Amino acid sequence: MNTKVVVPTVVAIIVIVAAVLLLTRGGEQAPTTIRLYMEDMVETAYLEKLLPEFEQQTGIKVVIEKASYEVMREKLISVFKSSEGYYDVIIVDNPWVAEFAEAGWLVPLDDFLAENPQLNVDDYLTSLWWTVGKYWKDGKVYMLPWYNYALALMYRTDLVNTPPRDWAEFYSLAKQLTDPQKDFYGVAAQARRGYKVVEEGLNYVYGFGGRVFDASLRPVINSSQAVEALFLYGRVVFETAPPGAINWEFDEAFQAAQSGKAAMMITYNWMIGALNNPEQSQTAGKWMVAPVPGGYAVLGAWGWAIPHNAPNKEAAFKFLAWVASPETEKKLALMGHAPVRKSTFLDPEVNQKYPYMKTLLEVVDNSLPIVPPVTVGEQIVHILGQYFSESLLHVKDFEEGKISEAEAKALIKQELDKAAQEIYELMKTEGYYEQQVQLPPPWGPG
Amino acid sequence: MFLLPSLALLVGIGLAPFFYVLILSFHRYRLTWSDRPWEFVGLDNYRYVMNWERFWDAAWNTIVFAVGTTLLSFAVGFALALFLSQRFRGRGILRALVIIPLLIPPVSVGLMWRFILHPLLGLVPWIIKSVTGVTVSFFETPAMAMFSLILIDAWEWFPFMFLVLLAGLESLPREPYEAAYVDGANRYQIFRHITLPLMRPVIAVAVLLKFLISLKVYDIIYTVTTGGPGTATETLSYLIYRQTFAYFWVDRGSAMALVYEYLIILFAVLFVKYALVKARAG
Repeated sequence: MNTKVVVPTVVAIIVIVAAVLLLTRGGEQAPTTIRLYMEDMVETAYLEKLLPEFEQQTGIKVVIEKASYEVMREKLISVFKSSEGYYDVIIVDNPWVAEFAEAGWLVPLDDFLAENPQLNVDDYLTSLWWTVGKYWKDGKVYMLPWYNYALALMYRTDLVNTPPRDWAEFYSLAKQLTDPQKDFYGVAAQARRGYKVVEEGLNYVYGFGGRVFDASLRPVINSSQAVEALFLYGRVVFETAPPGAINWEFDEAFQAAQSGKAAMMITYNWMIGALNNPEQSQTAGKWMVAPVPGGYAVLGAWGWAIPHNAPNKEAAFKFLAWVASPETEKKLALMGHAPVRKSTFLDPEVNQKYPYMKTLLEVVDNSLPIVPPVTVGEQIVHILGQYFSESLLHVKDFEEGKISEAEAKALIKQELDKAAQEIYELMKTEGYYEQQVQLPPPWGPG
Repeated sequence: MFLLPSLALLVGIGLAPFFYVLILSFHRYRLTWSDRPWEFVGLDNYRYVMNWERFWDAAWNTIVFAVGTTLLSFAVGFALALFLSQRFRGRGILRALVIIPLLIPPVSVGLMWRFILHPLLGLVPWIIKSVTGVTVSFFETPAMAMFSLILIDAWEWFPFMFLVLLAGLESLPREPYEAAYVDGANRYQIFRHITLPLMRPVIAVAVLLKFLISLKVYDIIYTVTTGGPGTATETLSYLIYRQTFAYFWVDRGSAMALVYEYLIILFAVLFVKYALVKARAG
């Protein structure tokens, strides 16, 4: 064959095949797809089970990309900064929301909420609404609460008759229950530097009447209440928790609790489900939940948000309208989801399945967010984490008889002074003290 | 002429990011600033870093860690290399087994050891307790946490030392050994006067490489202690990571990364100049 024939033939074939491919693709019309970016968590698994319902209703296909907590922040920022978006719906942890909102990375949801009155934002618990919902600086809404992780007290009903109401009582009870000879401890603590030591230690601070900020956003973490609280926290960690708890994460503490090596644990309120689940726990059926001693709990929360560069905003809003609705939340709650709506907490069906729901409502209602919505939330948590961890080491020296109680407290005070100073400087560079600011409730006066 | 493409690649991959970081370190810039321009601040970031106690604490921790893990992995790796360079049955299988830790991703190594050393559920504390009756807590005190990290890292890296040193041992000339054998030298004398001097350049390279790798340690710190308790095990790369990718303060992070890089280069130059040159000469 000569080339004069071959070349045109090949070109013609390519053109025809390409045309056929293009035409058939256009005729088929692929279904709309949205991409979600979520933490790899039990909550995400509940949602996955319910997704077919949404896909049938709307014809929108949902793809969930799951990630571990540690990588989420980095990944989100690379997506926010790219000119072409990738995710349509994301979940955001409450310490990040102000930072993301001020950077212009989240779509305000006010118009969407006005168009969807059935979402009834008044139904969200107040503590949660201020954590992830309305942003006090511009009054706009950037996130809808998804689930809460308020801290609560878990205790073994076969060992503890009435749950302790304050931290001193908690400590003496824990001490009484501890028996290192039998490898049994009062509390499965998680005092690892970073988020964990803050999520746990801050409950003590709150219980003693201490706070991280006052209503005008000045750090007050170096108060005498906070010093007393952390000293007691250290005694709990070193005298009543398993050895090594100073480096423990949730995993280690949960393993110790479920395997019958501890009588109490301060953890996320909905972990009561896992502790009483025979598939996950060797001590299932023996656990009960109560508010943290001292009354006020540390609150964290995840919320739904839409990135500014979401490729398919229309479908994203449809998804948000479905996932945040009271009906969907009820279905999820029946699977074990941690609710954010008053109506779900009080729903008779949910209460019948989970009799402790009213206790959980009390826990979340009386909780104070881990940080206020400021642009340096993540840094503040880590500053606290570092100095809380340093404070615990001074209690360790006290336990070993190297220093007296008064010396230990003086050293803790020094650490907290440093924490307060660092937080102050951080807030100052962010411009928070240039004008008079006043935090909304639950931090500031209502 | 033929070098141009590869030169361009080198500049593109190696030098461009370096200059980007260099320029960034003289400015004030956060990742959260969408359209705010970079603000030139001269040496401010460097001044901050040089006066930041925590940076120097982290530098000290990094050196302690690197020296500890280099020595430990060298000792174990060299002993094993000497043992497995002898001829005996099953040598091949043993050599293959020794390599395993190097093949596990560092993140998995960290998580695995966190649970192996778990005071209540871990294997090692359980064995220690059943033999001696003492409960050992591997991450409780600052010194203990650092020691445990060195142990974990050395476990992961001794196969690297082993491989490099074994390759060195296998390539040694046979003649000096035969001569020594004929002269009636004992095993220790052969090791001390033949193997060690001949191996010196290989040892120097292996130790230098491992030391430089250890200075950059990040994954194990991240998975095992996150720098705690307190800041006892916080290394430079972990601190820089936090500043840059957890707080989005890329300006300060860049300055820190550069200071860190100069420190590493300084170490490498000193090492090459003294240890390596001396080893060659000796």
